[in-house]
Order: sequence, then C-alpha cells, then structure tokens
Amino acid sequence: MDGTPLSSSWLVHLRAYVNTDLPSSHQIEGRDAIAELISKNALSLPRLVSEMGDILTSTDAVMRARGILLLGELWMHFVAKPFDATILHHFAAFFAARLEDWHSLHGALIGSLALLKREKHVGVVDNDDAKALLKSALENVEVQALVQEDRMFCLEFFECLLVGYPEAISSHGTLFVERLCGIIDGEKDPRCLLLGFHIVELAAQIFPDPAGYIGSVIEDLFDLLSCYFPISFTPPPDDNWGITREDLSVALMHCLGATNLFAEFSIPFLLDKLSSSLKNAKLDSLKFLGFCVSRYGAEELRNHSTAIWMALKQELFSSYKVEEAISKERDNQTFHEALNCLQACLKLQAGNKDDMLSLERNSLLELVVEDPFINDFFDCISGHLIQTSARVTVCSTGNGDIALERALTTIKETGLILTMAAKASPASCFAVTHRIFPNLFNLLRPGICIKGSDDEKKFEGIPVKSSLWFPDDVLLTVLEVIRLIIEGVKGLADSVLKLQGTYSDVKWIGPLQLNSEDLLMSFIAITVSGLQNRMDIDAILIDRTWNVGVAGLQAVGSFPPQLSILSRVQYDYLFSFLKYITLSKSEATSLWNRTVDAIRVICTAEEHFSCQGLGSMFRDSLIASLLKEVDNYSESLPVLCSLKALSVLCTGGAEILTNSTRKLTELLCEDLKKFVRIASEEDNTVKRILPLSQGLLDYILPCCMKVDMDVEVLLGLAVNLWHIVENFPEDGLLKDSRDNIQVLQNCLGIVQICVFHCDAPSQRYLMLEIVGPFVEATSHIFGSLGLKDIWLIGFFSSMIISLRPSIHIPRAECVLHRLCAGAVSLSCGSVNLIASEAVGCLVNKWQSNGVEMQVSNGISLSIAEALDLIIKGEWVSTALCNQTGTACLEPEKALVLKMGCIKLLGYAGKGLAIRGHIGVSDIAMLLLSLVHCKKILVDAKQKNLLQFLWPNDEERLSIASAAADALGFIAKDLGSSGWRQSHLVIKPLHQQRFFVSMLAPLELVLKESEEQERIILYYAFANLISSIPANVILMESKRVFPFVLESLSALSSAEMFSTSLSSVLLVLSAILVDKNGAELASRHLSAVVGRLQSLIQYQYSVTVRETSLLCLGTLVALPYARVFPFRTQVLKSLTNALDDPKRSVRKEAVRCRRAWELLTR
Amino acid sequence: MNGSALINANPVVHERKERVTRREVHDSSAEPIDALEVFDHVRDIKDPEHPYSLEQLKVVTEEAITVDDKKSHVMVVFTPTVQHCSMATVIGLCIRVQLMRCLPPRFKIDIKVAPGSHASETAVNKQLNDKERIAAALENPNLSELVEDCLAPASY
Amino acid sequence: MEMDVVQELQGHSDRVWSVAWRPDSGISGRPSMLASCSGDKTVRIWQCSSSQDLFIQHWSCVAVLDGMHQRTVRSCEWSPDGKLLATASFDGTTAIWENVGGDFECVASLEGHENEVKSVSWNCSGTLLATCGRDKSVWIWELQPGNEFECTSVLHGHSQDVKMVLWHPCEDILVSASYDNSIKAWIEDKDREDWVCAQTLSDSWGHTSTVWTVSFDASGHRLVSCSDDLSLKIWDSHSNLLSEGNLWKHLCTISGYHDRTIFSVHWSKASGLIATGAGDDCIRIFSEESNEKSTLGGDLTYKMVLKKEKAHITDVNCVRWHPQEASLLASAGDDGVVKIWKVAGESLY
Repeated sequence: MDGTPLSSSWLVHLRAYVNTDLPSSHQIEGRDAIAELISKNALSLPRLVSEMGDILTSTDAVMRARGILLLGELWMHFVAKPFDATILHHFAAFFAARLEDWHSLHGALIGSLALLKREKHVGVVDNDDAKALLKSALENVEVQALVQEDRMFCLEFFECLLVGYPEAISSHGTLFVERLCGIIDGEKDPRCLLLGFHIVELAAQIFPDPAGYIGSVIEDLFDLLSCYFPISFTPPPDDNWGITREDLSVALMHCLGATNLFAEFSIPFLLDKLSSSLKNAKLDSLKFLGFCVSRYGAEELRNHSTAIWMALKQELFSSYKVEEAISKERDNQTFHEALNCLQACLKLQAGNKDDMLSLERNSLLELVVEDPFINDFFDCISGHLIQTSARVTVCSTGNGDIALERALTTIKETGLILTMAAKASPASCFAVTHRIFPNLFNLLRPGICIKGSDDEKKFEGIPVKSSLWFPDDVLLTVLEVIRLIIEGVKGLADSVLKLQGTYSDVKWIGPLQLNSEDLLMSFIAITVSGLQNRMDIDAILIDRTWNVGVAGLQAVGSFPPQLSILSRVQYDYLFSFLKYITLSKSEATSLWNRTVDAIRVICTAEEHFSCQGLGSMFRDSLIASLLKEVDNYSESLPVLCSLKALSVLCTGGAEILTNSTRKLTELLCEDLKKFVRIASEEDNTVKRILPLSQGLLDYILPCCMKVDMDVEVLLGLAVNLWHIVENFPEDGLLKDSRDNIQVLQNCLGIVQICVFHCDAPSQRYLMLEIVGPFVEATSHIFGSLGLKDIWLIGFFSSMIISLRPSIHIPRAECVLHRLCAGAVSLSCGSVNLIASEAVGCLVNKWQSNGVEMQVSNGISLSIAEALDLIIKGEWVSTALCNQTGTACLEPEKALVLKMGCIKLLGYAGKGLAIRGHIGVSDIAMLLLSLVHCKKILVDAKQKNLLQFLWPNDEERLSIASAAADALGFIAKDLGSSGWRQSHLVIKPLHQQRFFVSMLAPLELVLKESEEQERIILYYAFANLISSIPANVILMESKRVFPFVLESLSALSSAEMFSTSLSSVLLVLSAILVDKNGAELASRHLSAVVGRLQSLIQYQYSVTVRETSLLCLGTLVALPYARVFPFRTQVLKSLTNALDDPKRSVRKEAVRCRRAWELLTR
Repeated sequence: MNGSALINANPVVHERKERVTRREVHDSSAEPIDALEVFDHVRDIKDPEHPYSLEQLKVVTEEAITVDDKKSHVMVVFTPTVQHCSMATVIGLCIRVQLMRCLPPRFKIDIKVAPGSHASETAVNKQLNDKERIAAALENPNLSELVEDCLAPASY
Repeated sequence: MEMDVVQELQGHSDRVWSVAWRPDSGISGRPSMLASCSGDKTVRIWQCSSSQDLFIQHWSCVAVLDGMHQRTVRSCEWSPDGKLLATASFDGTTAIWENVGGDFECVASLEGHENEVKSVSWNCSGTLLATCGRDKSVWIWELQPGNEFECTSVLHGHSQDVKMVLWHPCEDILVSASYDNSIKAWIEDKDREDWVCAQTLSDSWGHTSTVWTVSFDASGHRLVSCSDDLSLKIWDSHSNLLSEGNLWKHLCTISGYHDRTIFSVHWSKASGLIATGAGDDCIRIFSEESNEKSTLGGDLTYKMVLKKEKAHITDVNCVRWHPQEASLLASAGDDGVVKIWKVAGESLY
C-alpha cells in the first residue's frame, strides 16, 4: 500500500490539476506527474479516487469536471496498462454514472472511450459493463448538442462498441439506431462525418435483417446520407487532419454499399444524379453505382438492369449522339468511369453454364448485346466497306471527311465497350463474342482477301496475293478493336484459369475458337500488307499495321493451352508465319523486333500453366534454324539479327541458352582459326566473325545475368579461344586493320565476361592451363612483339581482370613483370590499357585472401614485394627491348612510352587505393614528384623508374599533367573511372583515405615550390578534389580550404585549366553551404570575396563565371556583421557581370546582386 | 494597402506565358540583351494591390518592350489595369527600380504608360522619368517598402 | 577645342548630384576648393594641392560632411566669402556649415520646407539665402549675426515643385526654375516689404518641360536655362533691370544638340563659355557666335564648340566652371564620380 509521505507530494499535483486558475501547462505537469506515479505503481487508482472523493463529489461543477477529466485522461493514458477486471468494472460503472452529469460529461466520455479502447491482453470491460456504458450514453448524451471534440469522442465510443461489443449494441438496438440517425443528421465536421459513415457501415453489416434495427429505419437513414451526395468539401488551408474530399466520398460509398437494403433507394437515386450536369456528381454516381451494385449482388442488379443500362448508354454514347460532338473533345473521364461501372455490373453475370446461348431475359448482359448500338457498329462498318470496296483504298488519315471521322469514333467507342463487356466474365465474354464475331468477319472477309486454297497459305505467296490490298483507316481501326477484345479475353482466360485450375469449363471460349481461322488470317494479312514496299503509303501507317497485326497474333497465340483458341494446324500456321518473318531478311526492323518478342511471349505463355505445349517445341526449332542461319552464313538474315533473336528467345531457359552458346562457341572458334590465315579481304570469315563476336558480346553473353548458364560452356569458350590464339602461327597473316582490331576487342570482351562468370574452381583450372604457356610465349624480347603476342597479352590480361580474389596465380612475379611490360610496350598499342587494368586488378586482389602468391621457384611473393617490382620498374627495360634509358628512342616514342608508364602507375595505384593498401602512397609520391618535377618524397627504390620517367624540358608539361591526371584517376570512384567491376577487393571509404593521405604531401611540395610551379600542382589538386564526393571534402574542409582559395587564383592564369577551375569552384560552393565550411569562409572572407570578384570576369569559361557568381551569392548567408562591409564593393563589381556577354551569366548576376542588395534590409 | 478599398477590385487575370527556355550557346558568341530578357526581369513583379504578377494582369508584355543593346536603350510601355489607376506611378516606379538593378548602368531606361491607357497620361510619364523625383520617392520609407514587396521574387 | 580629364575624384558611394567651387578659389594663392554632394547623404570637400601650377595638380578629399543629413544632399553652395557652405537635402532641411581652419562644423539647420529641399543659393552680398523644394514654395532667409537665419518670406507661385533657385550675381533678384516648365523672377517690393513675382518666363518662348537649371553670365545681363525639353534658352535683360515690369526677354533657343534631358548648364564667368551636362552622358560646350551683329543685339547665335562623349559612364548631373581659371571645369555624374576637366582651345582667351 502506498504510504502517506508521498501522498502529500502527489496531492500537490492533484491540486495543480484541478486548479483552473493555473496556466494549462501546470495542470498538464500535474497530470503527468500523477500518471508517472501510477505507472510506477507508487499510487493505485482506487487510492487516487478515494483521495479525490471531495473533488469528485464537489458541488463546484468546474472542480468536479476537472476531477473526472483527470481520471478520464489517466485512463486514456493507461490504455495499454494491464488492470484487473474488478477495477475495470468499477470504473465502467463510475463513468457510466458520470455520463449523467453534463458538467463532467467531457471527462466521462474520455474515460468510457478509454475503457472500450483497451486490448484483450491488458484486460477489457465485460459485456454488461459495455451495455451499462452504452445505456447511460444513449439515455444521457445529446450528441448533436456537444462540441466537435466531444462529438468525436462519442462517435469513437460507438465505433468501439460496434467493433467489440455488437451484442451490447443489439441489446439497445432501437435507441442506438435512433441516436445514430441523429448523429448523421446535418453533421458538418469532416472528421465526425468520416466516423459517422463508418459507424453506419458497421451497423448495417451487423444488422442485415430487413426487419432488423437498421432495416426498420433504412429509408430515413438513406435520406440522411443521400443529402451528402455528391460530397462537396475543400479542405481549409490550415487543415491539419489531412482529410480530403476523396476520403469522405469513399467512406460514404462504402456506407451505401454496406447493405443491399439500401439498393431500392440508392440505385434510382444514383441513376437520377447521373443525369446531373455537375461533373463531380456524374463521376461520383458512376463510381458509387459500380461499387454498390457489385456489393448488392446479381439479384439487385436484375431488378434495375434496364434502368442502369439506359443511364449508362447516355454516358457512353453522349460523345457522338450529338451532331457536332465530334468537333468538341470528348469527356473521356466520364466515358471511362462509365465503362468501369458497366464492367463492374457485368462481372455479376453468371450466365447459364450448359446453354450459354439462352440469355436471361432483360439481364444487363442481354440488354447490352441485343442493343441496337451494336448494329450501328456493323452498319457503319459495312456501309463504309461498300462505298470503298469498288476502288483500292489507300487510306489518308485526317482528311476532313466528317462521315469517316464519325465512323471511326463509333467504331473506337463501341470497340471499347465491347472489350469491357467481353472481359467482364466468361458469360459476358461468350455473349459478346458470339454476338459479334461471325457477323464481323462476314463483313471483313471480302476486304481481307486471304482465305483461299491451301497453296495460298504459303507466306511467300501472301505478299503477292495481297499486294494490291492495304487496309484503310476504318479497317485498321476495326482490327485494332478486335485485337483489344482478344487481349481482354486472354486476360480473362488467365484469371479464370488461376481461379478454377485446369478443369475449367471452356464453353465460353467457344465463339473465339469458331472464328479462330478468321482471326489468325486477318492479323497475318494485315501484317503482310505492311510488307509490300509501296511508296504511296506513309511509314506511320505501315508501322500501325504491324502493330495491330503482330500484337493481334501474339494475343491469339498466347492463350493458355487449356483455353487455347487455335487448333494444332493453326498453331503450326501461325508459327511458320512468325518464323518466316523472323528469318526473312527484313529491313523492317520494327516489325522484326515485334515479331521476335511476340514469339518469346507466346512461347513462355504456356510455362505459366505448367503444361508442355507447342510453343516450346516451335521455339526450339526456330532456335535451331537461327543457328543454322548463322552457321551457313546465308546472306538472307544478318548474323547480328540472328543472335539478337536468339538472345531474346534464350531468356526462355538456361538449357536453351547453354546449348546455343555451345554451338556459337564452335562457330566462333572455327572462324578464329581461319581468321589468322586470311589471305584476302574477300574471304567471308571477317564478314562473319565480326558480327558473330559482336553479337555474342552484346546479346548472348549478357543473358548470363538473367539465366545462370552452365559454367562449363563459359569456361570452354574462354579456354578454346585461348588455345586457338596460343596456336596462332608465328607467321600469321593477321593484319593490323580496323576490322581485325575490332575482332580482337570483341574477343577480349567475350573472354572477360566468360571468365567473370566462371566459378572459383574453373578459374583456378584456367590459370593452371594458361599461365605456363603465356610466360613461355612472351619470354622473348618485347621490342619485337608480333600481333600474336598482342593477342596473347590481351587475352591473358582480360582473364586476369576477371579473376576472383581467391584465385592463385602461378609464377605471379613473372606474370606481373610481363603485364607491366605489355602495358607500356609500344608495339602493343591496342592492348596497353587492358594490360594496365590487369596489373591494377592483380595488385588489388593480390594476397587479399592472406594466401601468398606462388612464384616460379616456389617462394611466395608478398604484396609489398610485388609493389616493389612495379616501383623498381625493371620491366621498363624489358619493354624497351633491354636498352637502358630512352636515349635509343626518338623523342615522341619515348614520350608515348613514359605516358604509358604513368597510366600504368595510375591503374596500379588505383588497384591499391581501392583495397585501401598503404602501398598506394609510394606510387602517389612518385607521381607527385613528377607533377612537381622535384625528386623529393621518393626513396632509393623508386630512383630507377623516376630516372626513366624524368622529363626533358619539352616533355615537362605533358608529363606533369599526365601524372596529375593519374592522381585524379586514382582518387576517382570506380563508377566514373571506367574500370569494369570485376570481383575487385573494395574497402569502404577508400577514396577518403587516399584523399586525406595526399593532403600532407601536397602541403609540403607547395611550400617547396616556386610561384609558377604551383600552377600544375594546383591542377593536380583540382583533379583530386573533383574526383572526391563532396561529403568527404567537407569532413576535411579545414585543411582543404586554403588549397581551394589558392588554386582559384593560380588556375585562373591560363585557359587550359578552366575546367579544373570550375570543378574547384563547385567544391567551394559545397563548402560555403556547409556549416563548418561557412565558418571558414567567414574567417577568410576578404580572400574569398576577392577571388570570386576576379573570377566573375574570367573570360575563358561561362561556367566559371556562373559558378563564381553563385558562390558570391551564397556568401550573404554568412554572419551579417562580417558580410556587410563588403556590400558596396561587391555590388560595384557586379555591375560588370550585369553586362556579361552571356545571358546565363547575367541572370546569375542579377540573382547575386539581389541577394547583396537585400543585405541592408 | 492600408485598408483602403482597391482601385480595381476584380481585375482580369490572364494566363502566364510559359517561360521560354533558350538553348545554351556554348561558344563565345555574345548574346545581346533583348526584349524577352528584359521582360523576364519585370514579368514577375507583383501588382501593388493584387496578388497577381504584372504579366498575369497584362500590365507588361514582351511586345511592349523595346531594347537596343548597342545604343544602350530600353523603353517599357505598360498598361495600367484601369484608366485612373492611382497605382500607375507605383507600378512604373517598381519597373524602373527593378531595371536599374538588373540592367548594366550604361542603359538609359524610359518608362511610359501605353497611349490612352491612363487618364493623366502625360503627368504620369513626366513623373516616371524625372530622376530626381524617383530618387526622392525611393528614400521615402513607406514607398520603398511597398516597392520592395512588389519586387520580392516569389522564388526567393 | 578639346577637353581632358585632369583627375577623377572617387569617394562617393552613390550618385553625385552637384558640385560647387569655392568662390575665392585660386584668388591670391588660395587653393582651389570644390564641394560635392551626393545620394550617399554626405558632402565631400576636395582641395587642390597647388593652385599655382595647374599642370601638376593633385586633388584630394580634405573633409567629409556627414551625419547631418538623413537623406540625399541635393545641392550645395558656398557663401560669397567662402566661409559658409549651405547644403540642401531631401530630408527637408538646409544645413549651414562653417569652415574654421579646414574643419567644417554645422552651425545651423534651416527647417520649414514640408519635404525635399532641392536647391539653395546665396545672394551676392551673402546676407540672403534662398531655398526651394517639392512643396512648390521658395523660401528666403536672412542671415542674422551669430549664424542665425530668419525666414523673411515664403513665396508661392509655382504650380509644381521648384527645381532650382539662383540669385542674380550683383542684384537682389531671385530666379527660380520649376517642374511646371516655368522660370520665375522675384524681386522685393519695398512698399509691401515683401517679395513678389516680377516675371514668369513661360510664354510661347518658354520651355515645354521641366526646367532643371539656370545660370547667369558674368554681368548678369543674360540668363541661360536648360530643360527636359532638350533645349537651352538664352534670356536677355534690358539696361535698367528694376524699373521695368519685364526683366528678361527670350533671346534665342539652342536645340538639336542634346538627345536626352539636360540636367545642368553653367555659364563661365571667366571665359563666357556655356557648358551643359545631360542624360546622354555628354558634356557640351557652347560659345557665342562672334559676329558684329550680335553686339547690336541682332539675332545672336550660339554654336557648339565641343562635345565630350561618355564624359561619365552615366548621366551627367552637374557642370561648373572654375570661378577664375577659365580652362577648368568640374562635373558630377550618377557613377558617383566627380571629374576635373581641362579645356583647351582658342575660344578660351
């Protein structure tokens, strides 16, 4: 039991709460303090109540109210705190009693609500308590009389009861419903209204009985509700409950749809509102109608179907009922809302399973399909056909022929309606298709002159046969409509199948099956019609024919097998047609692409329904013939096309992909063998190997991402190619022509992808296979590299690049040495970069798994040693065919060589940087001393390489900037560095590490250097900083800032640095908006302002001027006292910028000036 | 402004003309200041007594602006919403101030009300082009505040 | 004839409205002194290092008069003895500064105008001061001993604000120029002991737009006025000024030279040349056509002898000839710069 000592303390809080003279903050504190005590169980509710006795029974209404309110709020506060049943019971009784005292009502309501809100596991009031509360509430509370807040509580109170204690409600049903009507009546507050609607919805579901509580008042209730329709409510600007008109409208909709007792009132009501001229009313009534009818069910629909259909027709056809309606654009929204409504209703149509022909009299479905509008549809088609059948029509779109326009609109709209109807339910599908298709095709057949004797079914024949025929606009539109319907039905078929499983009833699809021949033929014919190259038809139209045709065929062909509408024969026919298109040399690529994709869809369709159909068989045969095409390299179909088609079809499955890749591998190897022996350009090999390798690279191999292919194949491809290259005859006639280099590049790409996707074991195997031969083959002097060696180095590099980190590389020392040499060797021009990248990857993955690399003599080589190997740069002399120094080379070659080295160092450095290895600093220092052209920072082991790289006076600038670029490259993030992602070992924040590590040396060399030397150093700095993400820089802003300022003045000296300049400016702008950065800036403000002021005149680059103005503008955000002194000076300098030759700059200047202008105010 | 009734309670509001985005010419060729550029400076000035921009009220249009970059001359002819709009001078003042800020100082700026668009046309024009009066007006706190409000860009 | 900048006087942070030479500049070895007033609410005093050798002159700012005026200082004028400087400001006051040993202290502040004061002028004896302003009125103040100023008269007559007041160089005749396109001449009516408008120059010969500035020639027989109507007008007076009702008659109009408003005109006491400053950034110099007829009071003409393009990069607000040194001209512009020019050419001598 809680002791008296604390009582005193909490009594203070209590008094604070009930004392209305105190500011509300005190009262709240008081309450919270008490709540605190209770939650700590330092105070029990009963104790509290007993202590509050005098307050709760006080004659002072206000005092009493406060007391009750306290309890109410406490309960609300402890909604999730367990209490035992007795306490709950007591309080239920307590609040129930207090509901009678209207002074205390507010608190009592909150209390009662809190009690009902509780979850089972923390203890809830029992039914009788609930009843008691309800009874008291119903008898004592005049809801409409309350203020908004209390009305809310009241409604929530009822809501909770309906959800948790329905029987409590039914015990006082009559009274409750009476109150309920009262509540709904004329409520204006959106929040209350929302709740009110929901309560009615709940109640209606609890008392469905027509004679029940709701049933008895249903008409009054509806009258009350219908006043709110259509909801007109625009949230107030200061609205903070975020209730929208939509919310209210939906709530009302659910409310009206809650019970079909409403049907007899609501449906006529809505239909009536439908004729309203208010757009909102129209749209809402359509929405409501669709929703409610589908809730009320078929029975209710039957009673009103005629009325509904009449009303809907009004909306659906209003667009062309009126004469001049075509000219004024149609009200699409209403039209589509009406369509949805129609579909919602038709979904209810079950139809008669056994005899679908007999439609129930006056069912909505019957009304629709028997409606004259369909006849109009036919009439306007046949009418048009008659008048055009005489001449061969080439339709000209958009000629002002009103009649034609009318016809088109009719067809389109009817089409949409029929589609909606067709895909609503099997029954309606049957009705619609049965009703329209036979007649339709009777009309069309003569137009589409295709049905004929079997020999005309040869497609080679079709273009000839129908060469005269081209669909006119109307015909096209009709076919589009048909396509729409078919697609709709296909969707329906899929869902039906999902619902009913394989044993679904198929009768409803019957009409389609009956007309399948016509469907097929029309779509084929229209596709073919586009194939004839006729000058007199514009491309858009042709494209349209293909669109309709192929899409149609796709729809027809991709029905689930169980519900297939095509016969076996028809399938074959369809397939052979598609095959014909695919294989026929077609410059009509849009058609070709569509066709191939259609095939893919059709073939995969059946897989969704786990049932082997003709599709896959066909696909396989097609793939086979595609491969054959490639094999015997027939001119008819470009190799690239075949491969593209293959890649599309191969997404069907791993097996297919694997097999075709295997086949293609053979072909590629075959070609490659021949390739080296090519005597003359006439030889086809180049003509094939080029697209073949290209296609493999661009289309086939990327499929590995989608479907995991058998690594055997990939490995096989890589190894085979390697062996072929390995066995190139020394005297290979391989010429260094453009084609050949392209082929090389493709092959390298292929190898790289293959190896990349290989698993570790196969990669290990690969290494064992190739390292030996490679080292042997490249053992001879580099200077005289043949093209064979280039291929070897290229291949080898590509494989190295793709290795996983865990892979051992035998004779690593050698390998590294050779790769370095290859990277710089002049005679390897085309593979230099790849070799460099390989070196980069090598050092990146080197030993990363802790296992050391094998070296020839069995001793292992640590990363450090490997690094030394690079730094010492003996390989250079290898590349230089053993002459030491560049003396023997003519200057430009020497320069190229040096540049190569610097690039290589860049890659090596990046490899290290990415894995976060300190070794990078050695390389970085080497590069930095090249930038700086001073031999500080480097130690003995680097001397040799540095010696070699040391520029003479002519080279100085180019070497320095190359080195600076290399530093930038190291700092760049992988994505933008152009380095392919290949199992690299990546350490997080590596960019940051490197960048920071560079700052100190930079500071050092800058101190060392002369004025004009600095420029290039700052160029290097700019490279670094522009490669680093802003947030990294901001972390270092303190150290970076001086550099930034300096480089701004240094780099502005020459035009060649303008890009660096702007990137530095971007950094500055980032710094200026950063908090710490801003502080720095305000400390060096005069410097900053000075730099920027001179840069807004910078003549070489618009961007520089703009950016500096931008920065200048942001300065005003700095502390007023610091900035203001510069105002006059800045404004003065801006007057020139206002007169800048470039508009963009002037605009920026105006903004900037404005910002500074405002400083006074 | 200060509770007094609006001169033109409900003006006709016109569509904003969508901003012409010019293609950036990235060579060194100069882009002389033209009417559209000047229009861009003044179109968003807020009307002193309506929550609309001068453009929306068709007080200023691109067509009514003539610019000669070589001769450093700008002429803006604006059309007050009503014949006896007491705000005409304020509007003119706003336009001038804005242009004084946005254009290089070499420019001579003439501002006039469209012929026949205002009851005391000549008086207004004379006042708007008397630099001494302008200067004095801008040193008048209430007036300059009013001007600043009109010039305050919504996008700042 | 040609003119070149001797020196650009930088310092004002806003447009310079007007400049005034101290009358005794260059007399008996006194250094030339120039006052300039600006939109930056200050007045600056510039002094030339040497008054002797005008070829190696250096000008420097010797004093800044600030903290007194709350708004633009529109005009400033030295008392004839050069001891006092009167400054008129948009803040409605006119301040009197005393020059004691180089230092300037404000000894009086004349309040009375409802709003902007636009111009101030001392009479030849330095006993009277005239001011005018936007309130359309012209005020005449009398200098009492101890730098006390007493308003002796407030003259109404102009229908619009009064741009400038100027006393006759040797008589107590006051001339005022106004936004109402007219020029008025005021004289004291001894009987009524008050000042009355003796003449209004706004007849068919008058200006057709705001009259910005007027200036007397050395003798005071002729008056030149410049206007927003892009013309100059020369007015001539008969032998005995005070007797007749009409003081001045229109002599000639000089038009077709200026492209924009003429803000300032000044008639050199030393050389008789007329200089103008205008909104087209130019300074122009006119001289009297030297033919016998003119002396007979026949149709006399003035021709432009010099046009200085881009004298300032902006409007030229004020031009003033040096009181003694015929070749020196001072100008002030919206660019906040005051320029000292050296004019060379035979028509100076």
